[in-house]
Amino acid sequence: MVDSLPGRPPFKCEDVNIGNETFQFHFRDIVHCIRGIYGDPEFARDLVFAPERHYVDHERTCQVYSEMYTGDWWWSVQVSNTNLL
Amino acid sequence: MVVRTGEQYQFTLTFHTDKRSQASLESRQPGATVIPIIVSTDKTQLTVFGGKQAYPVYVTIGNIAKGTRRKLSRGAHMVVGYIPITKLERIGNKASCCHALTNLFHGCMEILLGPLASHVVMLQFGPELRFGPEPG
Repeated sequence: MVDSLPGRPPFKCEDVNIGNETFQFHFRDIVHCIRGIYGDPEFARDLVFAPERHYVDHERTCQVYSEMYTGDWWWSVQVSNTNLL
Repeated sequence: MVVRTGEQYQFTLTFHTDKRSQASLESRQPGATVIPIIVSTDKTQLTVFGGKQAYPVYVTIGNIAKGTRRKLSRGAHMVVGYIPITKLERIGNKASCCHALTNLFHGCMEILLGPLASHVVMLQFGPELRFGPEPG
């Protein structure tokens, strides 16, 4: 199972030409990097998979924003586009 | 989009929902989650890569709480590339030199972020670099 977990992908190199000068750009496949972080067992307990709404009171009159997953945008994309109480 | 001035730049790439379909992600793909992608650079971490000086570009995800993301020891930021540094001495004109440096940065970032184009509906990075179909 450990061998099948995504890890850190190798670096690739591409030339970038700017004004008659060529530069070597060393980079990794960003999608593989994201998979590597998402699939890292070190973060298994830290990952958030669903947005949350936090309030200071039970009546939900005052919403609190802190982490990215407490924001309105994530809620509207993943859960609902309508403003629900 | 969040940009810090100074030697450290942090960009939060904003996803725009497909306005042609108002259905939420969970209604279209049960169990799916959003993965906010956070790309940052750090010019204070100059390193020699491929024989030339370069500074790292990092990637992390917004599903990890910021307290954990910020701890270097946790390793939530992965190096995804090294942008070369150059003085572009062959270009005498200062304005042209700045323009060329900007082009170098954006040229590298276009290569770096290219694979994401097929994974997002719309990706916007400042006023110049855009991927994916136009909304609406």
